Amino acid sequence: MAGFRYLCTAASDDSTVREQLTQLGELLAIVSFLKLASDTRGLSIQSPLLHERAEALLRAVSGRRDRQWTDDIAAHGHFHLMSARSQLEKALSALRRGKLTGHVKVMTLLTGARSELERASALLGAAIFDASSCCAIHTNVEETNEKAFCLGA
Amino acid sequence: MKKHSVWVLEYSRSPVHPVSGVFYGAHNQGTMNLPFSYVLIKIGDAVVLVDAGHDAGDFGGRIADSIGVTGWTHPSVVLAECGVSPEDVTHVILTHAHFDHAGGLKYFPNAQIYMQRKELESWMWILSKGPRFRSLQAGLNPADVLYLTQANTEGRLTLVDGVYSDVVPGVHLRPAFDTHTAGSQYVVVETAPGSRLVLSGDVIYTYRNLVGDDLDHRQFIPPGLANGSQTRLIETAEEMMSIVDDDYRHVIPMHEEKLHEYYPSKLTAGGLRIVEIALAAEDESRV
Repeated sequence: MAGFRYLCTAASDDSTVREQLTQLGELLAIVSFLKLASDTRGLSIQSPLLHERAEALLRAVSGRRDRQWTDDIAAHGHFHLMSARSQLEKALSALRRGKLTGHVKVMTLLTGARSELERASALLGAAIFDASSCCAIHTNVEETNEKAFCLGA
Repeated sequence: MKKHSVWVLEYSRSPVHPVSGVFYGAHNQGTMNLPFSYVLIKIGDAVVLVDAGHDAGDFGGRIADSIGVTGWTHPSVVLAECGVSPEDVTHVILTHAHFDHAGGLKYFPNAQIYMQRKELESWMWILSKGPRFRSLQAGLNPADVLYLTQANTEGRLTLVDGVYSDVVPGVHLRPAFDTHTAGSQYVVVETAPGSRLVLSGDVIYTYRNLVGDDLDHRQFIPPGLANGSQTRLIETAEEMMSIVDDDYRHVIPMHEEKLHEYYPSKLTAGGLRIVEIALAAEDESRV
């Protein structure tokens, strides 16, 4: 969008790193599933699409590596996220090599990534997956509001 | 004479669960109490758990906290009420892979895990579709996927294709595809010849889902939360009712707060409820 400028404030640091946490959580699930599928006969999966999605997630997170953080917690969380990313990237790469892959190595990498995500999650006070559409708290019932869809002038 | 003992064990609860998640079309009705439970089945030396709860020390706990779930109690404490330890559990049947059903698997290190192959495949499909399908990912904890992968490498994961009979004698699995989740299943327990219980998973949350508001004019009200379809939820509810010869009390919804009005129960010291659904001839009552 013309004229849009991204402001690197603590608030945006926080939202950025939380999004990275969610993306890497999704990546952990995908690489774990790929490992499970590689060990299991007869699973009908979209392996090329899962690999494609994994690559997209790796790109999405790595694109922010050179960021200057203004918030210490976000920076610390980001450190653990990058460690998780690195281990997930190695696990994905090992899975691509197929039969040469030792399952112990992949499981070690996945377990390590999980621990790093847990550390980041604790620091940020955020979860790595979403439950808003299944169990979000709604303490107030929806109100009748004639202006609920005010689209502006 | 009953061969199986069956207890519904509450391990936490949400006092603020959205009513619209439990009853389709229930808009503007605020929140309700929702117990979170697993079901313990004992027959002979077999100790079967239907669903594993969530792990409060993990990502699942963080999500649970954020949605108002309280009172989480460790499985060793919950199961002790029935004289069982987590290590004694020989089988865990997952009705589906949401975090509050699969998240506690790590507490049962000796159990063989049973779930529908389609449940795994559908989650993989959802993840492969990318961010536009993110709303369908809700409730899936990546750490649980990793745990299932680990269990698979240890030979402890059994993937089931549809109907599966006698996980242990008299305990059967039935698919409930495209309902609450794409690969959900429910459990049928033949407690005695001609006597069956259905453990509904989240295909049915409460008795109101099965009978509506008027016992003389029953109608199904499907749960609001479904990755599948409301039609399939209703069809599966009808299938369950036919299994129990239309006696809705023999369908056991794990999120039903009023189970104690139908079966003997007690409150634990921690304020969680244990409901005794069936008692084998050789077993002692725990309530």
